[in-house]
Amino acid sequence: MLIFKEIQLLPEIFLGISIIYLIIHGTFISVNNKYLLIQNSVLYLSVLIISLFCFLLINNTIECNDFQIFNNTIIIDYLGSFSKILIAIVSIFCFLMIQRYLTVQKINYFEYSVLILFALLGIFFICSSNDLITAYLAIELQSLSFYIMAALKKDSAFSVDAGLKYFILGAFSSSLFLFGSSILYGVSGTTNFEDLKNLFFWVYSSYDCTQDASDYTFVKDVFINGGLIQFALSFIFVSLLFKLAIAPFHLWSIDVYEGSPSSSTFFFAVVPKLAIFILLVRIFYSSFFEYTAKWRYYIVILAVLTIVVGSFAGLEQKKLKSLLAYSSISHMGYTLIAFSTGTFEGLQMLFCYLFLYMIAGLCIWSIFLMLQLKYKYVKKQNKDLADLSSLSKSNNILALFFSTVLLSIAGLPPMVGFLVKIGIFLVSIEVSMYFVSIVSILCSVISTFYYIRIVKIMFFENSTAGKLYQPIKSHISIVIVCLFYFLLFLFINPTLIYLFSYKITLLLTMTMM
Amino acid sequence: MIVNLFFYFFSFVLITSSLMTVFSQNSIYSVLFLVLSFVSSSSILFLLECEYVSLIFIIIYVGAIAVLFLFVVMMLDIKTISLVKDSLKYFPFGSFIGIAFLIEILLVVPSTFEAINPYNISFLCNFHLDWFNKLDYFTEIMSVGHLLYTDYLIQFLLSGNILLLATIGPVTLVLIRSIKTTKKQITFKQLSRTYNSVLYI
Amino acid sequence: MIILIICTVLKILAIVVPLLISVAYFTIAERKIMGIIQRRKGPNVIGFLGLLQPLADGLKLFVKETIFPSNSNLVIFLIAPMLTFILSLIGWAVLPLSKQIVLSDLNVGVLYLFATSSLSVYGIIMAGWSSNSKYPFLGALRSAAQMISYEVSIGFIIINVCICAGSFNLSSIVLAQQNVWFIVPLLPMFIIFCVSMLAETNRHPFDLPEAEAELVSGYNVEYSAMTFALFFLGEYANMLLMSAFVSILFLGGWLPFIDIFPFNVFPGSLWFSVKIALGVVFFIVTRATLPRYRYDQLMYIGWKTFLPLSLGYLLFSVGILISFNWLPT
Repeated sequence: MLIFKEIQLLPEIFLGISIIYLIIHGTFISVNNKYLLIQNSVLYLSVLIISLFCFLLINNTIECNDFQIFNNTIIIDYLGSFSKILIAIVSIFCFLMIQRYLTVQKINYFEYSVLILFALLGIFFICSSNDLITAYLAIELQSLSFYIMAALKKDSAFSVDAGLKYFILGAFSSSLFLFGSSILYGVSGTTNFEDLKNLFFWVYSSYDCTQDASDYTFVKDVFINGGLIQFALSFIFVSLLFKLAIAPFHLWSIDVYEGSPSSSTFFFAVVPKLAIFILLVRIFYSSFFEYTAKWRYYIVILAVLTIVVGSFAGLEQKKLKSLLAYSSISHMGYTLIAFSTGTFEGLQMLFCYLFLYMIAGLCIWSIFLMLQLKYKYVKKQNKDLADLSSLSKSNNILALFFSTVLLSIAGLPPMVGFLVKIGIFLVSIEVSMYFVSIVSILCSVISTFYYIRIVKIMFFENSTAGKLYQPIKSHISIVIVCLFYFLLFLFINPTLIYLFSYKITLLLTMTMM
Repeated sequence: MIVNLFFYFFSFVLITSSLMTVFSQNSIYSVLFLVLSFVSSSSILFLLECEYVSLIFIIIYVGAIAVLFLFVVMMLDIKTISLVKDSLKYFPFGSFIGIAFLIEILLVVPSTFEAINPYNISFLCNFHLDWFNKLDYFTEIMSVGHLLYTDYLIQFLLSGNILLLATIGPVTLVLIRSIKTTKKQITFKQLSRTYNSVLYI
Repeated sequence: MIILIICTVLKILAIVVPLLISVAYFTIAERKIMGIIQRRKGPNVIGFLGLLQPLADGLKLFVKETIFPSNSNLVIFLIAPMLTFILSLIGWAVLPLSKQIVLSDLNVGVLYLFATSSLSVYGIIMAGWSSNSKYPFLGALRSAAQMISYEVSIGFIIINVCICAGSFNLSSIVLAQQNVWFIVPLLPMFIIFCVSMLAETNRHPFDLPEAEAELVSGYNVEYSAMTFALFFLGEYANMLLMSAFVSILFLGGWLPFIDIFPFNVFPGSLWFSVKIALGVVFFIVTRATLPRYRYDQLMYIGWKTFLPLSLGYLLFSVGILISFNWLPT
């Protein structure tokens, strides 16, 4: 089956080399021909690169076993491969969606596509990292390209402001990650997740064997109280929560999502959340599992705070992008509840919710990007809610799709968002977190308000004049229609999502035993 | 003994200069204190026999990054604001968080590393000599090289990619791509003019 | 313990005192050689053939009044020349003067020299900023930008030499040139290094930031007597250091020309001094003959010509070494 084990990393190596080639190609053509606008062709080339990457990755797919390569710093298992394929397919859709947006907004740099490819390279390395150093370097690669993508619209002060805020807070959170991992290295002598799992997974169960080792205070203190390890783990945890925009670390995400060009926001909202959650699962479910049991309640407090913030603060938003930003914050709160349960079903629901979040986010943001005003403010990108008024009269089907996907995000039947949300509440009830479930259900109801308000503005607004929108090209509308029907179909038959998440969770927990 | 004295001295300089970086009102003083803290941390690394990492600190942090900071700070028109009247507003809450962290570190760190070294118990410390280390040892550069290009190859390539992105990104953000170029001379043509081809009226 | 300290102090004095004397005589050599090139005699009044001229210069600078500008930032104003002078002196600690005559045989000697030249940028920036006046500030910024630009290509050339030699230790680099000096395989690197060396020490033809006719003499405008003397000494000591560095890297350090009878008689330090003298004469002759580069041409050369060339040549030489399996392990 394999020539040598390291061939499993061939897709990433291909991506890296093709990025370098794309940079050289773009630079030579554009500089020698007086800055020719090659943005579209480079974008299509990068779509080709990612689809070839997908092809190589599907070729490499393994089913049941996992193995570690490159001195145990990179792990190849089903979770990593599946999430990489999903992220690659989602990013192909992203590329196709943003092409028209970039042309209208006159973002003429071909480096935009190259930056997205760099970010994807970093994300793919996060998905398969087995080592704190690899994870840090991959997070840095992804974050650095996101900082530049956020600041790329040079004539808008909001964009530069968003890039600067994102850069400072992202660098701060990366430094927290580094601090935590350096203390972990100082205590345990290794940065490998596998070695940390062998040392710390069965911490509380190993209480008996160290009871008579009274001379070795180091062992006793680390393995029983684990003060310094919890200290270090809290830093790593906070740093990853920063990247996910969980409250109270969410303040940067509103300004960044609002100010960046919408194509960048599309990327920020949809793609990296899965990768960071995979990293969280690898650290806290597989290496330091018992410690999670110790401070599970603090994670739950953060999750509830996130949901409350996301629900209540979204009520008074008047711009569509801020609204979608707050809704993504609250979604991360629900995911964190599933993360904190610590059970098998909790992990499965976590992956279900994340997959569905990505698909629904893809749908919502594509529709958002496709809405372009026809007259007067052709370039206006930050849509107020009032811009959507009477969308039902000008583009009936689009309004219908938009409202249906919004209701799916809100968690109303008959869309699949209802099923995954109820799954989250079921797993939290299963571990007797009743208060958490009640509070989050109530906040979910409150957040439904601002989704329904958009529906009301689109359909039932009593204004005499609405804004006219450009018609949507047919190849893009096919994508949106397919996603919409996919969401409806998944309600009737959600086996697809449940099957994949069950398989992932099974293969992940199988290696723990 | 002498090594301990050096360590105390450099640590004192490091802590003092990093505090002064935060507290000094003039921005240039902050950057210069930052340079001093880099140099003192590099000296501490020298004491730990990591001379390669220490000199790389100086070459890269002090020689490139802090120069960049210094350039930017010098060219911005930063007025030296007096922070005294604003700092008291945040003093209770900020000091509470800071003292909580400090107490937590001070409680946790010493108790974790209380290992008992059997070779250091008695007052007449009879330590054993590692003879093999004196015969054949790896210098620090050799050990870094042995690990970096074999075991941690992918990490090395990843950091190379990060540096590539860091060179492309600012160029993308800043480069003004204009079609009409400025006029330049071609010095070779200027210097190779001969007497015969000069026109005089 | 005390013996160790006294020995180290004596060794340091044995390096520093001849260095300062040679810096002083460097100035008179420069004036006389430039005079000969321009068909006149240099200074020949004081002492026999003008050889006591540096003493007169030193005495003048010593007794002149040191002016502190009232608006300047006095602490940094005084630290800057001290820093420049100290950095020029401490670089001599790792240079091997002959076989096993070296003050400190660091295993990372090359990196140490590189770090010293990186730090000397700070002396100039601090001098320019603390003078609190437009012309020194501009001159300092330009000079600092020029220095850090040419340091990059110097770094790549150093890597090239160290790969051929197999170590960062300066004595090992000299010993690796016993069969053939590195100037023979790495001739383009030698040329680029010589030119970058001129730019690194802010020396003609790259002295736009500090020439007297441009920018009113650059960053040391506000410095008068003893402080100016420190800058002056620091710059010339830096030039000597760079000449010594280039002779160790490319010209075989203290190795004689060929290791046979007539050349073997002279000690290694004599050969080293001859090569440093060659470097000194190179500095002086280029000053007398070449016109000055404009600043944007200077930066263009540094980033767009030297950097790709040195990087390309590094790849080329590493490729040859790996494919013929000639890597020194």
